[in-house]
Amino acid sequence: MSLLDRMKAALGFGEDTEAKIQMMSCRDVGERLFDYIDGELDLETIARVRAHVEAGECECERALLLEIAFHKKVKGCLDSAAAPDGLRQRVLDSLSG
Amino acid sequence: MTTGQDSSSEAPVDSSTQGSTSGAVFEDEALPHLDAVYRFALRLSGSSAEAEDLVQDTFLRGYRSWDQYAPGTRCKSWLFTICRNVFLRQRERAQRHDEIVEATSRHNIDPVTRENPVFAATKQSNPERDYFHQIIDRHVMEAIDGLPAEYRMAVVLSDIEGLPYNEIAEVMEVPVGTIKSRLFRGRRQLQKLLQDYAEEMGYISARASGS
Repeated sequence: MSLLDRMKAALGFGEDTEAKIQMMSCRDVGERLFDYIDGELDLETIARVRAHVEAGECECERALLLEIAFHKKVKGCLDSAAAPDGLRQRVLDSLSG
Repeated sequence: MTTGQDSSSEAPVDSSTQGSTSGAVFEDEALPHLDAVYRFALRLSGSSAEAEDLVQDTFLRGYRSWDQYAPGTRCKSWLFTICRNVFLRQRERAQRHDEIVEATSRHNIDPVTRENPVFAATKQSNPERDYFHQIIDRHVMEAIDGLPAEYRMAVVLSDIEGLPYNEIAEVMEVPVGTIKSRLFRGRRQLQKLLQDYAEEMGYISARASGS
């Protein structure tokens, strides 16, 4: 089963929605890459983006992978920083002061 | 906050001291977000010393306005909002207007491109393996810290703290559309800064002149 068919089955799409899913343009996808990565798209739009990318007839998959790689790089650089030792106690002390 | 001898994380049972119960609730609800607020403050201020001061100011203000906060609703976002406001007010006091203008344009960033600026420069099919692993984290952090503050905040709140757009909009007190614009521009500028760095280091070939 292709990804498109699996998504349609999972989401309960019928025959009438097939044309709509297949018609997303490269420009449409490009405008939604950040929304996609940020988890802001509804299920139907996610299906449309993925169907377009998986069709593989353009450079959208490469564009998406690049944005995902950037996102992971940025996230990996910063999200482990913890507050310095003693800051918690200094905050508590200032609250009771 | 608690006048008992035991200053551990256990909440005081008796509330004979005025505010001690609400203080214990503040500690239970707000203190778990200390690391996240510190990370945010560090990206805003650029130095760990200033970040620590910003964190203390944030929690103090939060404690003082605790009665305005509805318990159980997004405490972390509420603390981010306070932190941002404290930072902006401090920055206004410290800087003259022309310094602010200079700071936001010091990188002379080209107009943002619709596409990722690295897209054309890297033809590899596996950008993580072939491009990103060579860029050391410190340069990414410097590039993030080089962004204008409002772009930097949006990128940090999205990519690091994982807040959805509507929560970022609440923290930054602007519409969701403005958040999307700041994320787009901030990320494109960040990608451009990293592209410049990667070209200097020879990770990717330099662009042809005029392109």
